[in-house]
Parts: sequence; structure tokens; C-alpha cells
Amino acid sequence: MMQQQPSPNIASPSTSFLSPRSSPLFAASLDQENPNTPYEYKPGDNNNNYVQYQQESEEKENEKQAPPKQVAQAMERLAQAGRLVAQFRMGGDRFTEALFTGLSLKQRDPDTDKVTVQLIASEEASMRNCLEELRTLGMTLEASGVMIGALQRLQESPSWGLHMPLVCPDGAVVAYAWKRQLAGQAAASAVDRTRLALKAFTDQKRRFFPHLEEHTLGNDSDGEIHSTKRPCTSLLGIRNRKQDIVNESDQELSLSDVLKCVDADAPAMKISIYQRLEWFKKASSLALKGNSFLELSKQEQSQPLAKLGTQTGGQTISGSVPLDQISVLDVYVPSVFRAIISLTPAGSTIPDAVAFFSPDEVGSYMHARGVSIHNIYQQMSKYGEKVLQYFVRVRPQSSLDLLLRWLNTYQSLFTKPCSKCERILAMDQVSALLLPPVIRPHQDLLLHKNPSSVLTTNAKDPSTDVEKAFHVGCLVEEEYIL
Amino acid sequence: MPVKRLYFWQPNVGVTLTTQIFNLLCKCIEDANGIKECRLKANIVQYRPILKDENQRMDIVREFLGISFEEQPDKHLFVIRSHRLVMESDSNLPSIFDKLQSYRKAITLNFEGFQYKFGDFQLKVFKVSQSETLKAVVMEVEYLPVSSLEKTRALMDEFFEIWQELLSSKTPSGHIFNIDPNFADYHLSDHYSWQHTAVLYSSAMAQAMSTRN
Repeated sequence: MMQQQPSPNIASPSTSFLSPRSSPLFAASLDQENPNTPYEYKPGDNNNNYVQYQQESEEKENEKQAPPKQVAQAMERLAQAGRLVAQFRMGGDRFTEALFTGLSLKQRDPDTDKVTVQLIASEEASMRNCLEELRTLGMTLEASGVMIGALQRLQESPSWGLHMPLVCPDGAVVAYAWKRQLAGQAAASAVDRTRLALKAFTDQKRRFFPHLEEHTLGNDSDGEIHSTKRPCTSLLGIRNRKQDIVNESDQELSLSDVLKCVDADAPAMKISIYQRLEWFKKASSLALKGNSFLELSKQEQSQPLAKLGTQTGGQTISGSVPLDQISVLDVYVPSVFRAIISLTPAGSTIPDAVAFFSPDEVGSYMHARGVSIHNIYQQMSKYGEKVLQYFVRVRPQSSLDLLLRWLNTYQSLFTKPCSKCERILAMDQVSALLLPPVIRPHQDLLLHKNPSSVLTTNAKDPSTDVEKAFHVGCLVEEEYIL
Repeated sequence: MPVKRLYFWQPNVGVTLTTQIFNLLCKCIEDANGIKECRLKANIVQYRPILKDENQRMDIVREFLGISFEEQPDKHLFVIRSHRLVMESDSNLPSIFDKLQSYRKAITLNFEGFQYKFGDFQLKVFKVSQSETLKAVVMEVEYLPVSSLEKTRALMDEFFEIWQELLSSKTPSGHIFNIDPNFADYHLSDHYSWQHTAVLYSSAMAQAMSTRN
């Protein structure tokens, strides 16, 4: 190799690392033997075996390989070390998540000790493995002489405080990363170039087209727009097993699908759709006129849901509310209750508020966050908020569907006695009011494989349904906690 | 309109009806955290035709009831029990009767009492008197959230049982019973209305008149 005097101030990119004065790689002989039998990678292999094998084979080959090959190997090992470091960082992340999951599982159900301990132990074991591998790799690198003289090189050639050599993500070794960026070579690999281009594009889109941003919520796996962190998939398996949720029913349904489904399975529940402002105008005008919704339905028909089925792929329903502007659902069960659901963003299947009212109530206060004048509906609204938050947290894609199915269980509000005390009216100790059973358990809804089966059972044969009802005071806390 | 029921106090045989039971009812409601709201008045008038001509007797009704409530001055209800008819009318119809001299007021029952709010229920307790003689004590129970008779039947039955138990523990001198007319006879629907109220009160009057002290 060429004898080069390393410059005292600036070490040139290509030779500082390969300086013959300090690298033992080049002092090795150039004899080569036959290459060893190739290592067959088996899927179940632990990384450790591979590294060990490499170590052994390389010790034999060290003296036999040409310096460029040794350099290449060293570079490869450094890259692997980088990967191990990244894996370790991710492992740390997963470990924290395991702790949090364990904590939440423990709060919900004290019997999950074994599972959580196993989970935490497995994450800890994988992190330890990473560290071990890194250690082994480090020793290999040290043995091959990569580390030798690195400190001296650093001390000998003061480089204005910048540490060298810098290995770029695409493998190039440079003194200063910014030098490459200036030269326009920063994202030299195709992957990097693509990534940078995407970032620039999304930034521009966000600046110039802010209204398009809401459609990308939840779709971007990069994490740039999505503000909440997605948990690692292995942990979800634990949660799903615990709650016994069937994954096949967790498909994403559009708003029209959900409404059509509910319309078909629960004919007693009448759902009307509105734009947000439209609803407020209607509620206020009825309050002023003193009409009731009953009289109004005789005068004008609210948007019938049958129209939803006639759209052929366009966004609008013939003459009525465009699908992507629906933000208020008015769920009416005659003579029992009226529930107002608000959807955010408009046209999505994510409810953000629900409130109950009397079927005869009118007033401009009737909206998804309004409060009824009757105690029974006030209690139902309070409970409904909790249930909604639960559904959105556990199954966000089908939260509206679940909410509507849960509302359907309230058809028997005044006729079904409490499952515990077997009476309809009971004195609520807290509020000193006589109330019917206003609690309908919601966890059972998540257990059903086919969402529509629950509705058809209730609608057709109320005597055989297994839905329970409870007074507020009769609710057994341990069984039905949110 | 919210569903209503009417409870009629039936004193035991040999016991005279006094305002004591009215006071007791009021006290029971107040003890159960009912909130007194206002005084109420209503009256039911039995009209009889003034016959000027013998021939008229065949095809006119012998009597009908006119019901009015002080808190609803523009509502006047008429019930013809014999024909099972109930209707709302304009509030100046009784004055028209006076001017025409076609019908006279045969019996007038005055309802006086208080209104209470009891959770989602509205309770009214009335003393029913005919020219200073106490005829009956009635309690009207209204369940504000719902208007369907069918849906609230079980709930209202339970409410009645609760009050029956409560009152029987307070006084042994009588009991309440539920006035339950057959609304279907009057061709009234499941949705509660003022006409249902009129039928309720007319039954109460009939009951009051039949128990002669």
C-alpha cells in the first residue's frame, strides 16, 4: 500500500482510516486458502451462532484475505453493529411498552400476573441478547484490528473537534457529513433520496393543502402526521387474547356501510343524518315553534336511509346530505329515547359525543353534548359518554357500529327489569331518584363474531335475549368496569 | 304529552273522609324529597240540557262533563260518557252555553291541591269538593319523559305499588286504587294526550259521585 503521510490538520477521507502506519489489516500476509464451506442459514438460528461462526472463520481467514476484503468485512461488521444498536434501542421501546401494558392489564384484571411477567421477561431477554451480540461483535472488531489506533488517530490529527471517520448510512466513509450534503451527495442511495422526496412533498402538501390532511390521519405509518404512537404488534396479541376480541370483525367499515347494516338489522331504530349546522337549525326552529319532532315528521320527511344505497360511487346522495359532510346522527327509538351522536371528522365512523333525550323533547340544547331535562336521560348520557370512550379506545374502526348496537339494547329501557333486583323502578341512593335500569353492559358486544347477529337476536325475539340491564346502584363493579 | 295515572283514595267502610288524608299524602311526598311547586285548581262540571220542548228529549244526550284546568286556560275538554266521546273545545264554549241557555250546570266538582316534582315524576294531590263538602282525595301521577302508555305500563304499575305500600304503612284507614279506564273504548291511541286526561278525570268524578258520604 502507498505510504502516505497523514496531514497533521486534515485527514483526507479515504486514507485516514486505511493509514498503513496504524492498521494491522495491511500488515497481514496475503496468503489465501480455499474458502470455507458456506454457512447455511437456518430460520431458527440464533444470531449468536452466526456471529460465532464468523468469528472463527475470520480468525482463520484474517491472514489469508486481501486487505480490501478485510476492509469490506470490517465495514460489514460495523454496519451490523449499527443495526444491533438500533435493535437495542427498539428493544428499549418495547420494554417500556411491555411495562405499560402489564400495568394496564393488571389494573383491569389482577390475574394477569404470569402473562405480564412473561412479557416483560421476554423483552428483557431480547434486549440482553442484543447487548451480548454487540459485545461479541465488538470483540471481533477489536480482534481484527479495526479499533486499534483509533484513539491515537483521533488524538494525533486534531480535526477541529469533528470526530472521524464518519460512516454514512449508505456506507460511504467521510470526514464531514456536511461536506457531502453541500456537494449534493447527501442522499446518495435511492432509498434516502426517496425518503427525502416524500418528506419534502408531505411538508408542502401540509402547507398548501391543509384540508386534505384530515384524510391522511391514521394512514401514515411514518409517524409524521399520526400523533399517537402505534404499539408494537407483538404486544397487541396479548391484549387481544385477554379481551377475546375476534380480529376478523375488526375491518374498517365506511359510514354508509355501518348505517346500512344497522338499518337492516335494527328496523325499530330510526337513524337520520344531518350536517352539523343543519341539525342546530332544526333543533332551534322546533323549539321556537313549539312543535315536537313527531309533528315534524308528518310534515317533512327526514333523509331516509334508503337513499344511501342508491349512490353509485359518487360522494353525494341524491339531493340530500353529502356523505362526507355527515356529522350528526339522530337515533330515534319511538316512545323510548332519542340519541344524538356527533361524528368527528365529518363523514367518518368515529363518534366523539353522544347524548340522550326524551323522544318528545324539543329545544336548541339538544345536541351531542347537551343535557336532557329528565333525570333518566341525564344518567344515560353520562354512562353513554364512558361507553363511547371505551369503544373508541378499544376498537376505533368499529366504534360507531358498536355504539349503535349498544344503543339498540336500550329498546327495552322501560320494560326490562333489572337483572339483579328484578324490578323496574329502584331508588338511586346517590341522587334520591326513582329510576329504571339505565345501565346496559357493553363489553359483551365485543365478544360477538358477527356484529349483526346481536341486533337480529334482540329485534326478533326479545324473550330469549341475553342482554342484561342494571340500575345504577345494582351494577356489580367487579364485573363491568370500564 | 307525558303519561298520567290517577289514584283514588278509598276510605274503609265506616271511616269518614277528612282533609287529614290530604295532608298525609302531601306530607308523604315531602318526606320522600318531593319538591312543592305550586297550587292547582281544576273543575269538572256536569252539564244537563235545559229542555224547552218535550220532543227534544229523544235524541240529545242526558248529560256530559266539561273539564277545565286552571294552568291550561285555553284548554277545555268535554266527555260524553254514555257515547264514549271525548273532545277538546274552545274555552269560551261554556259561556256560549250560558248565553244560549241550552245547558245548565247540574253538578260542579272543584279540585284544589298542590303540585310536586319527584325526580322524573310530577305528582298532584287534589281535594275534590262539591260546594264545600269534601267528596274525595285524588293523586295524579305524571311520568314526564315518555308518552307511550304501553311502554310505561310496567313502570307505572310499580310506582303504584310503591305508593300503596308507603301509604298502607302510614295509615290503616283506607287505601288507594288506580283508576284505569279503558281508553280503547274512547278510540284513543297509545300516545297519551289531553283527551286521555279528560277520560281519567271523568272516571274519577263518577267514582266520587258514587261514594256518597
